[in-house]
Amino acid sequence: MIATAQLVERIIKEQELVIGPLALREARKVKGLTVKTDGGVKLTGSNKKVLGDLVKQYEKLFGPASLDVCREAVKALLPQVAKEDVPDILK
Amino acid sequence: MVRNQINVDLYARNAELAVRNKTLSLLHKLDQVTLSTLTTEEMTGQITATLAKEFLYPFVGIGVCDKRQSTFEWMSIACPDGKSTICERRAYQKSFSLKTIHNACTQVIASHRRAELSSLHKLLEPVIEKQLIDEVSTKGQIKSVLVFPLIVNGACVGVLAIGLNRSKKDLTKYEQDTFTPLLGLVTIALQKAMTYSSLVETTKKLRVANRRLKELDALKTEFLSIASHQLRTPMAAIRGYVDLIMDGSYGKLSDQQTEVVGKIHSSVEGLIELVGQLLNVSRIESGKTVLTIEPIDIVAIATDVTGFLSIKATEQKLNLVLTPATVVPVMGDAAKVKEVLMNVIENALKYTDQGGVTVSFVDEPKAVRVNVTDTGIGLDKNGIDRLFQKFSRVEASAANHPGTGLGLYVCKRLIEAMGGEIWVESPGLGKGSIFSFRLKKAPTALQKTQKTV
Repeated sequence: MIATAQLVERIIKEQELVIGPLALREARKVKGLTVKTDGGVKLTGSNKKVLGDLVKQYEKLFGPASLDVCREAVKALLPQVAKEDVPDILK
Repeated sequence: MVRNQINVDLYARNAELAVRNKTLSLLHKLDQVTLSTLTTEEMTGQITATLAKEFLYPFVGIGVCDKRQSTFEWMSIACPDGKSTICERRAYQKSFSLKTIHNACTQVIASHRRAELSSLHKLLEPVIEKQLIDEVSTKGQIKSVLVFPLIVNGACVGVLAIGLNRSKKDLTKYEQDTFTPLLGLVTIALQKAMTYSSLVETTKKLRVANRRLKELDALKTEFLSIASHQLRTPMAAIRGYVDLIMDGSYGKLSDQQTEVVGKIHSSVEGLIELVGQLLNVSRIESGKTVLTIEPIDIVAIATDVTGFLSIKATEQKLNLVLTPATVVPVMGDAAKVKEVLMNVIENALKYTDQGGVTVSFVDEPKAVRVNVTDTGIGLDKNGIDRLFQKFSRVEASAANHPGTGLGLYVCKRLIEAMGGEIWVESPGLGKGSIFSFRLKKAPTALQKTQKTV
């Protein structure tokens, strides 16, 4: 099983490819999510909620395309994550 | 609202570009692998590792066919962390027959069509142990396997197999966009690697064959030398006694006996000449001929030779003319140049029935050319091409003009060792020939060097 943190890192990395440093800036606005300078993340509180909020943060600004990017980013990893840890928005 | 919509539109465009960029970047990475690796093992190893890491595929494998032996072999298997036992070469380094019926690889190769499987077993058995297949399947949660044929010039040279932890319909846009160019690149990479492997194998075989040929050549040269020496002594004895008989030392000979003994004498002379030539050749080929390269007066040498052969020319009722010339010294070995001239002029006389032979000189900018022109039997193109080869004789004349077929070969080797060239021209059969050779003019500062041929 892989940690939710890995999914978060992957999403931020993919978003960086599309919007550059803006991805990090928006990620830092998500409550419960700490983004380190090396790209590593720390989640506090409900991992599932933090992940869901991150996706919604991007969707709020950039619409459905950003949701697709988030989903594509984690597609390969989702089978290795416990289903209960995956927010509905990513399913 | 408008700003938001702009952002959304821009994002969508950017997202598309990002996918394309990733695709290009991956293809570039794989391209670099293709350029920097040569062997099939190395290349396929790097490609599978790159794909496994990039797409997080739990299984990536490349296998190739050997059409000559009708077998298939996995060249490389990779997973994202590279730690599964199945990724070790010894786990899969076994070939199996292309006639194996229940294997997906052989089916894909035969049909040239991709296949989608539900597990790795049908792909990897019987080569890989069931236990290892189960291990990687469980660890990677493999739900489907895609098998792609790799086709070059209409022939399937191998397969690319990808194990997924989801179904094919859950592939990302990035993956879908990448597959087609990826397959093309992998195919080209594989073709290049296989060509290189084939070249290496062929070079190895050629090297062995070449070494063997050199050994055989050295043995032959040594044999020639030994045989020639061994033959010389008894032949010298035969000639000696034949000369004595012809002289009347053992009594007067009848006309018939004189004729017969005369034939024996010329046969022995011919044999002695042959042995001498063989010895010459073996010395040259074994590197034992030492040339003293120094400025020489080629006109003086030619005058000497024509003087010596004028008697023979007169006996044959032929003209032998040397056109006087004043030329600068050339670089050569005087004794060997004399040998060459003797050979070439004697040949010219031998193959001329009427008319004669003319020796002339041409002052070229950096060399002096010697021409020996005859009005003899001439040569066709076939004859010209073969003339300076060992044991080569012009067929039409061989019966009437005995010879070893080695004289001109020796002349060529000697002239070339002196830095010159020798060649022949002829307008055609029955129209005479011109044998020419050129030697470089001596430099202003006269130098004498020794050279071993």
